[in-house]
Amino acid sequence: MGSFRRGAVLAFTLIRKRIATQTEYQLSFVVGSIGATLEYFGTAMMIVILVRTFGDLNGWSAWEVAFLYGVNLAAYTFGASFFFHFMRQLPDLVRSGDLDQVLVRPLNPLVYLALNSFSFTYLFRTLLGIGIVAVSLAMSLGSFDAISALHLLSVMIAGGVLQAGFFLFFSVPVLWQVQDHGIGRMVFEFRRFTNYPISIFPVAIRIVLTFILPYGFIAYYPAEYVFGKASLFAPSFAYLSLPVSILFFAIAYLFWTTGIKRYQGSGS
Amino acid sequence: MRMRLVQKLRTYSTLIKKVFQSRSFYASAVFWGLTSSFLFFFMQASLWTALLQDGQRDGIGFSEVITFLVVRSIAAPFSGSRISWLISRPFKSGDIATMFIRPLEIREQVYCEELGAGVFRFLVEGVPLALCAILVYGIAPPASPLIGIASALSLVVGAIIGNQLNYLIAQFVFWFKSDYYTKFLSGALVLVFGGTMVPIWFYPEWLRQMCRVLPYQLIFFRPVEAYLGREESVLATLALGVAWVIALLVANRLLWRAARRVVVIQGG
Repeated sequence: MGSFRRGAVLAFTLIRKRIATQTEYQLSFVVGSIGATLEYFGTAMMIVILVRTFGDLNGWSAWEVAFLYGVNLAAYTFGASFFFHFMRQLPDLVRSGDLDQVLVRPLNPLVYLALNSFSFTYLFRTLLGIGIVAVSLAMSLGSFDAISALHLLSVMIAGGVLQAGFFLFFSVPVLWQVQDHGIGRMVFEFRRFTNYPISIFPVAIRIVLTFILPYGFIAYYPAEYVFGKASLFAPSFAYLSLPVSILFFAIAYLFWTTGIKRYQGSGS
Repeated sequence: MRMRLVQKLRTYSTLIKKVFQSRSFYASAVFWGLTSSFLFFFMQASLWTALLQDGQRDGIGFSEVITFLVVRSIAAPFSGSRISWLISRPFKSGDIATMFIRPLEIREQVYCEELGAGVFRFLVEGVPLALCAILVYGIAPPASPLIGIASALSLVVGAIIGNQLNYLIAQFVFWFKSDYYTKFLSGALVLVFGGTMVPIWFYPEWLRQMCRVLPYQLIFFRPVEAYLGREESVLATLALGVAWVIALLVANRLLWRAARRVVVIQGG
């Protein structure tokens, strides 16, 4: 238990350090954050305008589609807060040899790297995502209780874990000095499909987004439940966000540990 | 260090060629980039199929929308979206000092890089994508051959406007000391006022009014309108575009002069 407490203290210290560094120039941080949020806000606005003009999208109202966007945004930025910079930085760490230093430390290297890569800069965008979720729920359902709020929070966190799994998975080839020439980007491109109800896409896409690249579990399947939509596969999918995310992250983590073992064994 | 025009043009083409070559080095990167673009296009087409549902809205049907999407994928490589980053990169590292004394002005270097990258993406992604889309979905024919040529011209003018606008905002990096939000600001403005995500046909009246007074819609929405024969006078649109180009060139020149005085080297 003592080591857990130490670990928690260390985690907070690392994160606090990152936050301090990134908010050093306060005005720049705030203005920059607002600016970064603008494009996402603009996109959300465009989605609402678009679906409104056409009445609905395959039975989904403008605010229901906005809900999808909001959950995706919150989940993505939450996962990216810990793993985007990690993924970006890894090639440099490998090249400079700094990764070896991290691996020698008693702390789990992934935990250390993820915490040390924490990007506070996503804060405003995460808040925007949550805000869009709240507004879209208010506009479409009228009201929601504390239990629904908690459920949605867990959905967004689960989504973040799933996103993190994707970041982690595509970081591993870097360990073997295999250059990613864009397959990672293509996979992330698939994510954009889920900003819209995946019922508008052909079956092949739906299968990919459910069973291969389970982006559908971030926002779409929970939304089926929230808005009482007919389920594409099975009603239970609405509740599977957390288990699917954890499973996916576990697979990514296994891949990572395999990668680290091979990296260490290669005698670099 | 001033160069004669012939020398300058030769330097431009060398720089553009270099950018082109570095891009084409990895065939797999090209392949995955192409796949991503195809995927994104397919997603958009599915979305619009669902929205329009074999019908039309305000005289806009599926073939008009596909035309819009095809023109967008052709014009997108030349949007100059990386200008903000290209200017801020040497600024942050301190290389900006050396960039000032190179034979080509920073402005010219940045445009050449963007043009090189743009031509590459146009040839490798834009053209194949456009051809496939036309084959699969069909495109609306131009209102007349003459109008087709004129709208192509206004597309070129539009690309120049887009680049100039990006450059204008990007120059504020010299005052804000970071490109963090200039690039997002640019993106947000083009998204909302340029009609890149949702064609301006479907905008509410209040937003359409705002777009009318801003140059963003000239980037590629108005050229599409012209192509479809929905513009009253294509020549007037062309003239308006040229007027904006001149105005923006002047504004950029003035801003650049002011920026040179403000440059504080951060990398040193």
